[in-house]
Amino acid sequence: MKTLLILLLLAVFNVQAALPGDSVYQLNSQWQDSHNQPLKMADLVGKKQIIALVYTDCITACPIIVSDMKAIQDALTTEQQAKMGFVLVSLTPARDTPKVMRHFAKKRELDQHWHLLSSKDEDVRILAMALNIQYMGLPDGEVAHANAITVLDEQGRLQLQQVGLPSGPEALIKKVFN
Amino acid sequence: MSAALLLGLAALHTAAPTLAATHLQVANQSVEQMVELPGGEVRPLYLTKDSPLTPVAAFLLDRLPVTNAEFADFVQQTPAWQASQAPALFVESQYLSHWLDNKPNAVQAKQPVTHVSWYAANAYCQAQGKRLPSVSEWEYAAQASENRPNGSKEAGYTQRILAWYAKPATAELANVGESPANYWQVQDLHGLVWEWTQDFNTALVTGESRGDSSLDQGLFCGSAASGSADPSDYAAFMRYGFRSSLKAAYTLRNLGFRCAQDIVATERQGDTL
Repeated sequence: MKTLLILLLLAVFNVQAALPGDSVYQLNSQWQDSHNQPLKMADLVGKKQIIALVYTDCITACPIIVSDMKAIQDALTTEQQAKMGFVLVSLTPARDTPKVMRHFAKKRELDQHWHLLSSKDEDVRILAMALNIQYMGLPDGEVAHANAITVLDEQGRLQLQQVGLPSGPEALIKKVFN
Repeated sequence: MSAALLLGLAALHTAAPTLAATHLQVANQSVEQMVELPGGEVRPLYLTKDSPLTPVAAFLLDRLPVTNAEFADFVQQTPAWQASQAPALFVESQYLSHWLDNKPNAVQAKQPVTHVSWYAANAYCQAQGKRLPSVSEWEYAAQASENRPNGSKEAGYTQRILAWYAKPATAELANVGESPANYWQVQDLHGLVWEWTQDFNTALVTGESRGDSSLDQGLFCGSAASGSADPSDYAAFMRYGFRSSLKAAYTLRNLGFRCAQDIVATERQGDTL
């Protein structure tokens, strides 16, 4: 009986239609993680997710975003860690292949709680629209982008969005977990 | 100038577009409704006179905005985009609210489709193997007058566009294709509806870490115009202002779209046939 209930719950979570209409996981796009595994946004359901759009050879804003996200992770209790995921989405998916992303994860010591995703340019654009992240490719290959951190709730709805950690990671965690 | 002469002039100028239409006719019918624009440059309005021009690669653009009838076909084939199905993430509640019984009436059929979100417009173009034009591409195409690739210096050109902006939105939209074709044989870029572009919101890159304040300056009418590349092109300011006020899920009664396509992609598509 218990197994059946869990299976039922899983089924509900897996059906896109069961998601709220304003969930970012309504995006039906196909993504690829740093282990070359396919992933759909809806696969992230069930945990809060902190998402940022970055690119690996960015030397300005992105390292700060990643440091901020690591600071949040470090400030989480074990219990909170289990309820939160970390997602980096590449703004230059053509250059950020899974191999490049894997290398980046290793260098930045990003553990199993992190997903490093890339997809087609148009799917990145659609995700950015859904997250209200503005970006623009520059002729020199750099990407100007809003360096926001976005927190999605367990069902993929926008819970919080802010630039950096003005009051430190603890303040953000408090807001996210109330 | 007589209408006949205008038509003659237009024909003279269509060498490139006609060629494109011929060599692409294998691809599909909708491609024939497109014209090829050669590569060029546009000056981003919000940057200064010294900033580099934005290059625009040659591309294909729909001659006309997408009509209600065309969008209705798409919605019929893709039920996920019916007003009753599309998730709130993608569309505001006004999505396709001008249709009764989930389809346009006879009068609306040839009018440009409006009350569509960026997501819906994007999905439509993708379904045709196309994409939304970038802001640069749209502005590049739209700066042509009937006679010249760049009409912005032509007497009365900007004035005419502004006159349309000043006109209150009327209850009925005209059908697509009723305005004169521009130099590239593209119609209705001005005077009918505002149009979605792929990267409509990129002009407003706020909170950007490098603090490139010049990106922001041009976004505000009035004061910023004095420092811009072409302060006389107030119409362009209005478009930038309008675009940066949009969000992708918005569905407005005067906002439609048309599609564009990469030339390389099209030729590949042609090869496979």
